[in-house]
Amino acid sequence: MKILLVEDDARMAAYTANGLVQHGHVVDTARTGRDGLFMTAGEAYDLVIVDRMLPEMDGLTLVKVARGAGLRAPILFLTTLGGIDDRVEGLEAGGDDYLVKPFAFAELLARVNALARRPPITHGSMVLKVADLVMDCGKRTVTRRGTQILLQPREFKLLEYLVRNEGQVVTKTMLLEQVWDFHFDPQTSVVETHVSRLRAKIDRDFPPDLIHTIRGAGYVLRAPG
Amino acid sequence: MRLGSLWRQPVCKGLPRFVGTITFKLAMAQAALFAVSAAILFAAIYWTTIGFATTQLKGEIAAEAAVFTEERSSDGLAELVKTIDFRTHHRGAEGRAYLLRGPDGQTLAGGLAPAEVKPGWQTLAPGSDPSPSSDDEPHAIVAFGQTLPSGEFLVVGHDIRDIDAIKELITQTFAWAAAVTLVLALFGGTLTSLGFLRSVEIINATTRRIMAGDLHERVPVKGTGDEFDRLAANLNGMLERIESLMEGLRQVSSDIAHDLRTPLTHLRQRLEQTRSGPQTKEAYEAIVEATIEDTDTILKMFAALLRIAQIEAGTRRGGFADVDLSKVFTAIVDIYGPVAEDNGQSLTDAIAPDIHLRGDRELLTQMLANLVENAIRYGGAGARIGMTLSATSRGPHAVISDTGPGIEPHMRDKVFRRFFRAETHRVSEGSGLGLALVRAVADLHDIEIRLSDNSPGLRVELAFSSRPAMGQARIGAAVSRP
Repeated sequence: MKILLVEDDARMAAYTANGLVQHGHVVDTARTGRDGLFMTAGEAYDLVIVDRMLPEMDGLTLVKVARGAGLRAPILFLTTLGGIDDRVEGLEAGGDDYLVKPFAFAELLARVNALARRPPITHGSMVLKVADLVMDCGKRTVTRRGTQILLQPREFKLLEYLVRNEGQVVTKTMLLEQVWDFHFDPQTSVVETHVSRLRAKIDRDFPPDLIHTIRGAGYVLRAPG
Repeated sequence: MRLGSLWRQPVCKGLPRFVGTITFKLAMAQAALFAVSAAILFAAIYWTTIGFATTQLKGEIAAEAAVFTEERSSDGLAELVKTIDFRTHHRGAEGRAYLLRGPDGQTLAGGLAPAEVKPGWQTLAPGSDPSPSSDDEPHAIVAFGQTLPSGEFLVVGHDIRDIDAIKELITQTFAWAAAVTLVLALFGGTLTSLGFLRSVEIINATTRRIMAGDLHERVPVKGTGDEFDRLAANLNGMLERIESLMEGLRQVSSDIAHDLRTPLTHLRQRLEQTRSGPQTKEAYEAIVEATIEDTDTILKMFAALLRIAQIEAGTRRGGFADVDLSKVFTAIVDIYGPVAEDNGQSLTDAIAPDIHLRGDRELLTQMLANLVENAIRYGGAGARIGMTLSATSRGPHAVISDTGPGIEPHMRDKVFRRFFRAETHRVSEGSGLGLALVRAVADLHDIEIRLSDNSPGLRVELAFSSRPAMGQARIGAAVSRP
């Protein structure tokens, strides 16, 4: 994937770009908002990562102008520590996701992958299939090997998110934001509890397992084999 | 307060300080105003009195002249000359001056110099009467001259000693009154100015000490309830607030320093131990993992602090919208029910439907999540956690209770402070910021929090203020009704 990273802090930019390159992406880096805007106009990127605080032109303005000029690529905002208004502002300006600095690299990678996959699948089919798991989002039913599985509404939402991101690592923070609409860090094992309950219903009686834990990163739902 | 210092600190060369005060200037202005009105009064009295005395004098002269005219026509010239001579030299008629001149110009009687007189009213200069009947200094003379029907020219004059005496009396009286008034005005102005200056100086001295760093100082209140007392009371109120804010700031800074030192110390110790001896690859990996966790803890602490600060700044109020509180509560129960269950606890709820509120859904969610997590983490195994939401006449009312160890009554005020952790909880891993955030969100939404004994356990009551939301609902209903 071809990614544009607009980040003024040299160490931060190097850390982020190196990590993305190691995972097979091509990364261009811009150090100012103006350069970033110029580069979005000249080159077709699959994803743009924008820091909020930039010299010459701040990230928010950059995104507004770029969107106004017809930029279609997904945009990931990097926000400052603890900024509670930043997310709403960023999304309103035309961003697709946000990540609070400092972040674990696994978190960034998971979000980059989720964003890259977003267009073809988010408004996709009503019936989702992974191996022998079938989800009907219209009828709100789930079956494995043809056997009906009863899920609570929130368990359904959790499974749907995992299925829509099939094969991609989703982090705890992504689940908290997308499934429970929690934009803070709970002090108890909310995600673990609910994932383990979902696993008990989806995987316990139907080997092989579909949901896997990725240590230090999050969870992934993928077809066996 | 040393009064002496008021005198010793001149504003400009030679003048004592109080001369520059507003009260002194006011007193002087008032004295000047009084002086002008007194001068007008003086002039009025002076001219009226003198005018009256002059009229009186002229009346007397006219009467005497009439008597002389009558005497000439009835008793003859010789009788009149005798009468005038008698009156001129009679004791007790001091100040009278006469002249009787024959038709051919010779003086028949009286002492006035004939050259100076003319017919009608006239004022003669002092000394016009060469036959002074007393040792007094000479006075001016008011005189009336007329030609008698028999042809003689008669002048009757009285000197104005009485009028001069009245003039002197009035002038002296006013001079004394003016002198006394001036002294009193200066004295009074000085006295009030010194009093004023002293009150201001007391406040100034206090503020100087405060500027020098002693925030405990207070402006003394005299208890008289005057303007200075009210000013002092307001200043003290302001100082009270500043001091408590400063105290809060100091406490937070020292708490941050203290609470960050602990995880940083752990981190450093771990790294030092790692350096001291060779380890296996697995051990290194575990150490790196633990170190990242430590830094994450510190970063989370910063994030929580910033979040609390941002909530306290109140900017979120601008984004307040209608929130279905019942749905927020239900979601929290859905999310935390299984967590409590896995923890060997139970979470029961009684949530009334359709309770709405104006607020920030995200922050209200976090507030409730923090309270429930607090119950889960400190309630202990087997705790029964309860969540209720009901509508009351005064607004929504919620209770989050647990059957854990609870909080000692004297600690209940302190738990909402940043970094507060009851000593028994020190070992657990909480940041000590959860309840501080609860307080910040509650303050933002005008929610009153009450902690009480659930016997056993802790009972947290939230009294929501629903005024804005209800007001809007009412307006909406009124508009939609045809």
